[in-house]
Amino acid sequence: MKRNDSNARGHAPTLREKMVTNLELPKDLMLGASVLTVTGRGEALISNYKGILEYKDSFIRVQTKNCRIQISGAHLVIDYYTNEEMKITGFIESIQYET
Amino acid sequence: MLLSLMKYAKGYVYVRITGYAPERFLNLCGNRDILIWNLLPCEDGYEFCISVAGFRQLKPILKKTRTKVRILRRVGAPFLTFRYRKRKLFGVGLLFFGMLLYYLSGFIWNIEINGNSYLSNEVILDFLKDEACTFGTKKSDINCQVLEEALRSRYSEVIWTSIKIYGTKMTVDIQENLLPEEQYEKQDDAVYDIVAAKDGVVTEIITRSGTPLVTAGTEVKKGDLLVSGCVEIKNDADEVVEYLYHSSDADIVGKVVYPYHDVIKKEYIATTPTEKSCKDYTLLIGEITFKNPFFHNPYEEYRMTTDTYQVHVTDNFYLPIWVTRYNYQEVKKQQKSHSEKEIRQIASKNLMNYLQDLEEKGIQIIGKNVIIKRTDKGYLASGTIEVYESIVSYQPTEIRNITSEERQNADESD
Repeated sequence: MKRNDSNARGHAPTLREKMVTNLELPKDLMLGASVLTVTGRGEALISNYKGILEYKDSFIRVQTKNCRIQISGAHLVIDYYTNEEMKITGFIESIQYET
Repeated sequence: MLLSLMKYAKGYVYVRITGYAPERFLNLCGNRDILIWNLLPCEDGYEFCISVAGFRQLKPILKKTRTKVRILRRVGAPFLTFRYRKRKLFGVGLLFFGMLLYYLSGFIWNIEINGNSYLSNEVILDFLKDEACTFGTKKSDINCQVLEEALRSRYSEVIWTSIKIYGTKMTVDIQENLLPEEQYEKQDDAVYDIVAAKDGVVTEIITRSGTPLVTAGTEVKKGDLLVSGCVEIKNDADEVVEYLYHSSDADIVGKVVYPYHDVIKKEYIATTPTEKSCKDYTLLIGEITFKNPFFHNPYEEYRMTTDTYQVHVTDNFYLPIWVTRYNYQEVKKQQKSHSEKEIRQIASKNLMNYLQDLEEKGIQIIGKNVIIKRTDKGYLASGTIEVYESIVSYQPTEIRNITSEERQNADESD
């Protein structure tokens, strides 16, 4: 967790990160970075995650490799949920990254 | 849309899971590539949709996470077929219906005709009937190109056609030659004289071709030669050397007198409609008439009008079914006689109608002289109407005998 902390706060990148950046390799594949695509205010697509931590009408918490993403809003519905990606629809108020 | 249709075809269940760690259950489902959609949180768990195949794989996960699953709703074709498994004939009927629809879509059920003004829709529909390309013809039996050519060759006024079949509709687009060519054709080969169409006095004559035989002021009888198509060529000694023939063309206006005669009877039978009326309907299918057996006409004296309506499916696909409506209006008949004033009104109205008819034909009225006389049974309006009108009428020219040699010479001199 300590190493993750340093990464998240932008401290000195690791060798692996440097390599990926310089070789222009896709980060989501090499580092397991999650991809969050938000369309407008009503639709969010998350891929590269580990699982759902909590899910209520007003917020969804998703565990990724490095951090947790909390999407808060109202009337949140998971349209579909597979191993690769999930789609959330509803009214999105905020997206928070927790370490 | 397509995805939801596929889901429906394969069948899915709407379930609720409850238990200790439902999130863990969801993550395990994700791990095992079991698709979950429409995931909604509820009081003590989650509700979601899952395919039938996915649902069958849930058992070990349920055991592991110690959650309980409950099916709330079954959706999809497999459940529907199971539910109606005893209604096999319904399925057969549905299948039959689909096949019938497919079969019938191979025929022409609607014909649209565009661009015709000279030929009526009926004429073209009759033509299509003759060519066996009418309503209910199999689409594969119709060759549009052949049909187009047949239409063009049958009707000379059609200069362009396009016949398209789209779906079950045949569209016939035509372009007509609207210039009247008959008159030109008539005068092309034969030589014509102009003769008087009516008795009268010539008041105006403008000759464009031919030899005028009358002048303004000449009195003519019907059939008199006015302009001859034969031109005499004379030599210095004023003898006719030869004749040239050329169709005559002239505007000739003559003063013509029309007799007018109108009898108005004093006594007449007035029919006045009462307020009573009733309706009756009959149905004609093919050759068989179905009358309303409960109807009988209650009036002694009546006026009957009929409206016939032919049942049609599309704009011009008429079925052999006619509905006729009979309106019976009760009337009262009374013997009446006109007053002097009324008779004058009727007489002048009749005369006005007569004059209007003449004017509509392009005849110029210059004077009228009509007197109303009383006779023993009624009144007689008689007199004459003087008009100016064209008295041109064509008649083939009599060809006078000249030797072929002479004629040849004449042609050469031309």
